Amino acid sequence: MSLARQYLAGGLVTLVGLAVTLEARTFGLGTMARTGPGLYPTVLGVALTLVGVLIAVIPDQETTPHAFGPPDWRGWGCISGGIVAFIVLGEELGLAPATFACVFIAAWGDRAATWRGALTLALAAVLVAAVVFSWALKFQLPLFL
Amino acid sequence: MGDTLGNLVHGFGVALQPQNLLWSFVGVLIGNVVGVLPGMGIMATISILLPLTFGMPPVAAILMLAGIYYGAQYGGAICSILLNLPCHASHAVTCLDGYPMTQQGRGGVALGITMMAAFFGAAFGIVQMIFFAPLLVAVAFQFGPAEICTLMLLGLLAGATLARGSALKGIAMTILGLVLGSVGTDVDTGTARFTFGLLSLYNGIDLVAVALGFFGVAEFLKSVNTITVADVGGVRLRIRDLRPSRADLREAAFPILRGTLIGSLCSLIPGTGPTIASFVAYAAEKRISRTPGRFGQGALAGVAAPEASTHSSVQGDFIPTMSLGIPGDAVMALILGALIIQGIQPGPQLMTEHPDVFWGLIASFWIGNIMLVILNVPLIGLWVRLLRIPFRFLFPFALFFICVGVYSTNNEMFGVVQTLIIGVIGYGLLRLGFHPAPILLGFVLGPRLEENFHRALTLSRGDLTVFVSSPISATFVALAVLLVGVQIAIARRNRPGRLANPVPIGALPEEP
Repeated sequence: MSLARQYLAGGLVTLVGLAVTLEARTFGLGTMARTGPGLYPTVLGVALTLVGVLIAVIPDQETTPHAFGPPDWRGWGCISGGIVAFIVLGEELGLAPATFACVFIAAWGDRAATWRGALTLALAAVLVAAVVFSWALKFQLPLFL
Repeated sequence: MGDTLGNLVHGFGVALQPQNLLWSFVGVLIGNVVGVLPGMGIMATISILLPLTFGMPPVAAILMLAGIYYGAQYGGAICSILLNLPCHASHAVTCLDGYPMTQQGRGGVALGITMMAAFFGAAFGIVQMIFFAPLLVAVAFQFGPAEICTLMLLGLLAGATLARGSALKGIAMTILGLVLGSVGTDVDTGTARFTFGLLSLYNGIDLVAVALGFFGVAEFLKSVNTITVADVGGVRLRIRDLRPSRADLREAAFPILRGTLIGSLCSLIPGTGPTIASFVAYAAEKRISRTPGRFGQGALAGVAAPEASTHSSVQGDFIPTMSLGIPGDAVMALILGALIIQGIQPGPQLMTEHPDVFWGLIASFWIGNIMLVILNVPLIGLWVRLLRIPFRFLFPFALFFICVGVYSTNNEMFGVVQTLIIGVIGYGLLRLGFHPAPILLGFVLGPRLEENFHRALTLSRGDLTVFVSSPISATFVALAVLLVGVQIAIARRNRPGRLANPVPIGALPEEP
């Protein structure tokens, strides 16, 4: 575990802890006998901050090497893009176009993807959406808006 | 004793109702398929199917979701033994000796012994639950808010520090989960907390969105382009190949017994689920073996012991969850969340208030495990063929199921947006060495922890000593202190540079 990653991990946790503490104080702490809605989150925020500092200071014991490869922007982009496509097209056009776009885009995340494979997969998903979700399970989102 | 028998009979009556029988069959079947498929997670599958259970009666819903969990354990072993792929963390250790056996042409025997070990381990775990859970419940009925609060803290602390990875990071993730669980409208005062003015957040963050974000989207971001399907073209298996010889049986009998006992012990300690149980069982078997050199070369004991251990631990996992309402790992947290969504308050009163759920579940374990043996032994050829489905066909489909599943929880797109955000954050956390399992524990237990925390303080008029004044809660606090103390001591002894743990628990794929 590199030192930079250790500081980044600890620093992030500390920041989140501080943000939680600051936000929670605005809910009203109350007194110990009549606790307010802010007391519990404040305790959590303070604890998180402390743990964050400890993570940054104490070297990590993890004995295994970092298991992640180099950044895979193609895979990440296509998976996130597929979900974004589902959100946007689902709101605008309906379940069928959203399904098609989601599966088609996500399929390109794999380096071995082909036009035929992605198309077949996406059409199969639309079929499942129509038969299983729309027809059998009465899914709320209509196939076409 | 007679009472237990009567309850069991009642449970079988519930579990054998056609509808319940059907759903537990669906559960174990889906579980088995998911277990076989490389790259598909149990957590993701259970969370995708969770919205589907909202319309089902509680018993059917729980039987099905639980069936996925233990069904996947049967499938996972196939993947490990035949492909050398640690698809599921709790079967990773089985690869070590299972795959060499396949290479020696004894893969069928390894699978046959695995099925026996699995059934024996599971049966022991279920019996343990039948006798142990009522005892725990009897004790837990004397708990007040302060005791519940300290017990939860102990459970969370154990869940955070005993699982894989750095203990400090586990604690950080647990607290993060508790914070996520406090998002939304405060029950007592109606104050909106951490909602940032978003109306959709007033009801809190959705369990399905959290689970699918961390265990669905984040997992796919991690495993895209990293999973290659090995060639199983050469593996042909018939039922006949599964039958072990008499010598094999004699060799495997004691390892199965020892593995089972280790698994059942591990299941009672929060945070040490089936994965750790399987590693401990393997390490123990290797240590007491007269021929430790054979381990890693296809030793039958190296398959039998961890598999028995995994299965007895999987069934035993349900004990603290169903009797105390305190889950030991992320899968149990999810099942507990499903109970809460069904309107069933988890805790010691569950057994008396909802005997259908509790005893029906136990009976369905028996039925489900028998179904699984029947499914696996004659159909082994089918499962081997399933192994050939490449991951690149799986994950786009799974992603689509995730979107549909989250959408259907509230019928709004905001859930999908939440899942995407949680997934991206979750992947970032994975890369920084955080494990997401404790987040789910904190998230599910958080609201109940806070409620009991407030109640304890109100009852004591703000006196903080209430958490240590009763002997029971003082014991829990003492155990928590001891737990942290031991962890610090171990950490100081294992300073980087010195020898690492004999059991390489950190060397596992992510997944609870």
